[in-house]
Amino acid sequence: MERRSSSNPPAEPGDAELVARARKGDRAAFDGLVARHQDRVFTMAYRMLGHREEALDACQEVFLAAYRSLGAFEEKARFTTWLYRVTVNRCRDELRKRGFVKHTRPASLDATPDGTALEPPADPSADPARAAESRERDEHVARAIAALPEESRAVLVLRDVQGLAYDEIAAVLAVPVGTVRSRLFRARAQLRGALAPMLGRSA
Amino acid sequence: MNPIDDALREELSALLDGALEEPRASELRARLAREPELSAEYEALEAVVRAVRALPPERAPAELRAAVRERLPRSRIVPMGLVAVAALAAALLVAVLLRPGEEAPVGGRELASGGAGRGAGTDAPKDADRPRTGVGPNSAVPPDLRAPVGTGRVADDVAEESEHSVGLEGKAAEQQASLRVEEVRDRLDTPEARKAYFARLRALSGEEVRAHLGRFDPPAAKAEVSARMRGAAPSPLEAVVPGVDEAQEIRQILLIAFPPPSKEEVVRRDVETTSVELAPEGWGRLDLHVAAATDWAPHIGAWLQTVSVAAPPAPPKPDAGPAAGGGTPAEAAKAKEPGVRLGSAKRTVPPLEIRILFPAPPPPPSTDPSGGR
Repeated sequence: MERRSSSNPPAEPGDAELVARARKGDRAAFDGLVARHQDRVFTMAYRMLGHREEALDACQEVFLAAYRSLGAFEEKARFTTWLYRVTVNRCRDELRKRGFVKHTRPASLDATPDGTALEPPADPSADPARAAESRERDEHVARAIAALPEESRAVLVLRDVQGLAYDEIAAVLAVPVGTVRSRLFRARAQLRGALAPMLGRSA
Repeated sequence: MNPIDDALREELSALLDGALEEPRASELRARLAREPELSAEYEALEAVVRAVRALPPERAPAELRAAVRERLPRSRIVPMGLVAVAALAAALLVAVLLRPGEEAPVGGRELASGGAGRGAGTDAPKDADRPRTGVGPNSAVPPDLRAPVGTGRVADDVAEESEHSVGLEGKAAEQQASLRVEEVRDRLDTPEARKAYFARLRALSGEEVRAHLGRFDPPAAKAEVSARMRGAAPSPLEAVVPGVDEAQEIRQILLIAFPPPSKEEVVRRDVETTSVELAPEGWGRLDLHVAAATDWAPHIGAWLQTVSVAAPPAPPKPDAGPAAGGGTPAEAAKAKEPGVRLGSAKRTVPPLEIRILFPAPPPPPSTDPSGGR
């Protein structure tokens, strides 16, 4: 019988192992955590802040803060959840610095709250015309998301962009699941109004 | 047919995510099958969700990882925020080990001054009953801390301390027990330095320390430890982590992670109360660590008001008079109440100077009548 184990690649260490090693000062382990989670952290920051450069800066701060605060991470929690929490908090700080926290801000499709345009990357493999159309649609959606109140935006991004379950979102935001549900509904309802021209009459 | 209101739409939204509980989900699905208007609402929400989920996945810029890696060394890898940790732990350690009039233990003094060596404890005088002036509120606590906004507990605490305090006295005590965070930060900024620091703590908890601590009667099996912070903005990272075993002697770590301070959100609050087991043979060691991200360590000095140790009173001794219990009969009676405080650390001089006051231990049995006054 063939021994398959010898040809299997070594299993990648889990987050918990990397965290444990990073806590002991293993920078390579932390670098592994960064590599593993940077896309989701960046996406979260980008959708929250609506600006790539600011999102990049925020991501750096998130990972540095996470590094410094690894001792605060409770091992029973999921590292991803904890990292999302750090990210959301960082983004909130950034938004507050800008003075953007307006819980009743109406949706605006013209620009992000700071007037800068979102810059989703183009898909080079697509047909140019369709790519342009797709990009326009994505920009439209992204601007509508960026115009949501911060609380609703965080829930919407965590759910519909990051794919977290309600209870995970509740853990990230430290709010009850019912609050997640209602905020998510409000976000979708507001988006529905903002995207109605694009989505057709049904929306 | 029920009207479609926001409550119903919220349920539709949850149904869309599979997050609506049964049997309500089944009821709603049945209604969707027979009510076109409701079904249109559902489809509209579904279209919104589909549009959001169709957004292309974002990739982190290539420079992110390198930028983080490059900045890590400057961010002081201090798992537990050892800067502030070290300052408080060392200050508390010094205080626990000190007796009235004693020189500071070498380990504690080392940390502040950079000296080497260990173990001055065994040479310490045993005059536990020499006159104690205490370091009460009137001599040390800045006026703005005497009447804090909120509970006013600080002032009450200090009043107790003035009667019960031992261990550190006057200016000399302040000098010995105070560690400036800058000094500690410089010393604990590398893994080697931290390793040496904890090794020193372990060394200090050896026999010579036990010789000190053995002179204290066990006041209680359990003490309540709390840190009172002022101006610490709320943070979801706050946590209490008991039983951290980074060093064997660390029994308790109060871990407080601070977000960047935000002027408009600074609030007064009490945080972090927990319990710690005391060694059955005596006081044992109680290293109280307040941890924070190192970038914010300087702020702790401004935020920290008290670190206190409290415990139920020891069983009354047959010969324990008001002097041993601490002050007037009324105060002695108060000391018998559950939860009486046994000591505290208090910020006295910014940026981070902690003074620890512990209660007077019962006088040890002595055959030398001149040994205590």
